[in-house]
Amino acid sequence: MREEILGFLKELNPNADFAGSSNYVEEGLLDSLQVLELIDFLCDKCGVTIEPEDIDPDNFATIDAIMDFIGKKS
Amino acid sequence: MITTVLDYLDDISRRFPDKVAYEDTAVSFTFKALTERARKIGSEIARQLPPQSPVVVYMKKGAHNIPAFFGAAYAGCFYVPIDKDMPDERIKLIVDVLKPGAVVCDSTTKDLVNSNIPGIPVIYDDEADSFEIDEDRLCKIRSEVKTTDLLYVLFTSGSTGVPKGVTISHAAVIDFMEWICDKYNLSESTSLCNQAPFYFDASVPDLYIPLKTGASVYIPPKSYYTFPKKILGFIKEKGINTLIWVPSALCNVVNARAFEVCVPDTVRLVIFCGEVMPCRHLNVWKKYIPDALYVNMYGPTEATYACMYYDITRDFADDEVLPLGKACENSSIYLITDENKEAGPGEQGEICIAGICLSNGYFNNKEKSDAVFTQHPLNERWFERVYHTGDLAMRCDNGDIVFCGRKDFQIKKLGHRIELGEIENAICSLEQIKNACCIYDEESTNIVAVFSGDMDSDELSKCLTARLMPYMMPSVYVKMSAIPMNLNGKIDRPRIKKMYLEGELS
Repeated sequence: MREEILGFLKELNPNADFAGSSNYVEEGLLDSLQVLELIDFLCDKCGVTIEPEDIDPDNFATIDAIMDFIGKKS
Repeated sequence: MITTVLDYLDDISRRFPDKVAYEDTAVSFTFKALTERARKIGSEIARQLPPQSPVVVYMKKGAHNIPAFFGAAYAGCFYVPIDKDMPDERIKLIVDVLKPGAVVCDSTTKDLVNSNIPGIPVIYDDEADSFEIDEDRLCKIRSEVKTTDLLYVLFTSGSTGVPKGVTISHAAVIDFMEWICDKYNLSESTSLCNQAPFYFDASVPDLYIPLKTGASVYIPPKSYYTFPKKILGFIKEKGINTLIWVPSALCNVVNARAFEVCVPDTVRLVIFCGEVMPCRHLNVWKKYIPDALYVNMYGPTEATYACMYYDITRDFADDEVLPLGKACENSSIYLITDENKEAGPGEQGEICIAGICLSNGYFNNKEKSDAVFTQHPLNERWFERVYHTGDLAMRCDNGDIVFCGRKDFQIKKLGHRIELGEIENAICSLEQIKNACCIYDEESTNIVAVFSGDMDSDELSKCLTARLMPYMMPSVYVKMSAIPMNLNGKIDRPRIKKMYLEGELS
């Protein structure tokens, strides 16, 4: 799953260095539309339901944060 | 006499010295502190440069950019905002056109200045507190400036890839401020939440409304817009009552369903400009904040933020298109046909603008300026300048002007005149669609619909059959995970077209 999400991130923003980033949000690697795309992807692939409240920078800051987040949701 | 925006600033800092003018999460400037810092930076610029020189302000976005802008004005110079996140290549192109006299930078951009603008005199914003105010010099400069002198230059992307520097005078900004502040009763109790970057014309009201009225502007971190519940929480917490945003920022709030988390019911006025606002998204805003007035404005950077406005006082269906409305006070709009005549009722013409709001042309680019800033085609008796926008519109029976698309988005296929924007609007009005863009491949005469959302191409095609004339139907559909956007948050059409033509989208 982790690799699939990383692959999708790369597809969303091919110019960004996700591996070298300590915070995708603060470093501006994802814009608002890309975050929504990522959420759709997570809903489809992981079968989780993401509520508006969950669309929070803390849940999308790094791949670890994303993994934790979907772990909690599923 | 109000000659420059500094006359506004001097007056307002006498009336509201201790009121917040601009505030971000790290720093806050009262009007008094703003004026003092701007005069310090202005004195330092004036020590190094003669009046009327371009001064690049190259910093991380925040409240501290603003004293630097007005510092350039105190020095009789004009400012050119460049953002820390702007691509190096674009900065180099801008510098080539501009040949700036100095740059004001901060600790985040110091090294970037060395690599992107080597050899330029540098004024370091972090040292501004220690600059001395040179009262005599500022006074002398002030006595010599004219209202037609430049206040700023903003670079927009040119079709050839070389950015065009739109020059704007003090007079143009004053003209717009006098109208908008009066029309919408803006005052010292107005509070704004800045959204647009300062290198983008959509931020001009945020920058100048405080100077005219004593209003306060709050500048949230950019990431708040990425997670819209954060921005709504910020608006509520600060008690902000006025939003002047681009439509895509308003749409993001709806797409993230952020109103289900927070409804900032302090908002009373929402103005948008810069692109088409889809009614489907507007209607969600109206549902959650019904007491606010929503205003659709229209205007290119070349006419200082806006030259037309439409107060939304009736309900619009999701698939309706908002009118552009009518000309702002002290500006005129003419719809000019290809035969250089005024368009009749219901007839399309190019939107041409006249008034003090107009730019003084593109910086260092006479050829491009002459192509679009011309003698008024309907006036043969005296010199009157108009700006040709490249936008098409027509006048309805009730006098409202409605947008019909870009002149260069209008295509001819099988003898039909087709507006790509109309197809885009039909696609975007579908609930499952996130975003869409239509391009025309002249060679194959294919209309290509590029879209993102929860729908596949066949379903989309089926839905469109019910909404579009057969000759308007796209012949190619491309679903993308996200539609590429440019730096200003608008759909990047040239890039999408290039990707399509190079086979990257099929």
